[in-house]
Amino acid sequence: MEATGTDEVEKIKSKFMSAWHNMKYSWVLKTKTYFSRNSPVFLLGKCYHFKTDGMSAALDSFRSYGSNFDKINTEISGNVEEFRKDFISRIWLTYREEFPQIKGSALTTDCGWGCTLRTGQMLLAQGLMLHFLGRAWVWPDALDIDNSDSESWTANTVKKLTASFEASLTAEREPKILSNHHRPTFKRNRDANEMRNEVYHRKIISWFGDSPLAAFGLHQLIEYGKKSGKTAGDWYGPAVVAHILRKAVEEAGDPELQGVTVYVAQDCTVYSSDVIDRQCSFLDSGKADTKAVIILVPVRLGGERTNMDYLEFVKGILSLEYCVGIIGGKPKQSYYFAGFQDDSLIYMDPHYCQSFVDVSIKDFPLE
Amino acid sequence: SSRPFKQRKSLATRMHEVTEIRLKYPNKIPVVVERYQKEKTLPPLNRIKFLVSQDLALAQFAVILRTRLGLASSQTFYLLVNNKGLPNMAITMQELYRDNRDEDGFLYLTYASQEMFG
Repeated sequence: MEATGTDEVEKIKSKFMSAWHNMKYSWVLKTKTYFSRNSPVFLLGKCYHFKTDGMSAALDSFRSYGSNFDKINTEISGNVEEFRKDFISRIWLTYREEFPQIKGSALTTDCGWGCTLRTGQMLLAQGLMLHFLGRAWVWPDALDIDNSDSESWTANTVKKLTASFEASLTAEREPKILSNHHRPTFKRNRDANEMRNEVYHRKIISWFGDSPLAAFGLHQLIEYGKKSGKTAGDWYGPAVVAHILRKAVEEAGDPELQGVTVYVAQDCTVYSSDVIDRQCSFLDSGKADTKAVIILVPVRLGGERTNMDYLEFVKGILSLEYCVGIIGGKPKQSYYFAGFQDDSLIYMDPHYCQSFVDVSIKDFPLE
Repeated sequence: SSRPFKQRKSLATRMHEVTEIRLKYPNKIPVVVERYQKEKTLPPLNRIKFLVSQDLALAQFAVILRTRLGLASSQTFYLLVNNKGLPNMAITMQELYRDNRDEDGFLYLTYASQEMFG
């Protein structure tokens, strides 16, 4: 009797906390992000330049092309749109509410505690996009979204954090060169390719659905986290999440995911022979193919505050062609860092509560 | 003994200590290893002063500390020099000492896990 009594109290407590967090994180901050036109913007290894100013030095050098100048000028200013398209094509995952109850708890939301898991999901999602779709791929519907809901998109997804990101960060790279992004020669070919990509895009997102069945859904990740002594409702660290992601990819049953594996560095050291072992782990089963390896390096970039000596190193990582981003952040909040301009980092914030989307339904909405 | 070593002993005492040790063991590096002030997951060390052979790689010293603390291999454990930067784990204690020794003659290392976020 008494046991059920405390259970009830716990349930009410967690309901109350959920309600509070849902309210707290449903606020939409109307902050706008401004980018400078005078320096390049990097997004996961891609460089964009928003320059439209004819007076600037870099453009001056284009002037010598004379008659070509107009054309070049439009190409460069077009970069703003391309950046937007590219940015919106990244998968943004946030707190959710009203999803199926997590096993062993009364929780139906991760508001207030799930941010490191969410940023970890974003990191893995980028790795999978890179693997299945290639870095050049952009979501064909990306700009429609931008037009319909431009205000809140900029408000919630892109924020710049001026050189004050905090101690622990996880960086990663995917070293394998992917050749599955062919340049189509025929229109029909291209359509088939586009179709295939859309199927993959949808599939990748469905792997992150908030249901116990989704391979990289919150429910599964929490199951794997139990071995590190974590339960639903706890705060997670980036290194714990790195190990959870490795486990989740290893255990994933989907045949499509057999070609991907995760390596987590210990003590900031990447042993190349261990990475090669992972890459060739197919060979044991007699297959000639190699696996794509996502390398995660849990680090700590300072004590009390971030040691700014690491800023250039962080920017270097984010400029790498196969970088899939960095998770971690200033105290208490984890962000997904995807790029930078000058000394400001570009990140996606998971601290925004959205409603559960059932990905088991065909044609579930992708936003 | 939660106060840092440096606050518990005066500069003169610490300098004296190092001079004596260096005389007795010229090939060993005097190291003070302390827990990060705000550390919550990692346990404290019962002894914080170490005399380490100068050819030992920092990575090996880290393994010794991990064992002392009884950590599992997946547990995060970072060493910071002078409470600031992550040192290169491949260098020897001598090299680390040469570039980072304190004015009192000790080498100061801090250990910490990772922050948790919610």
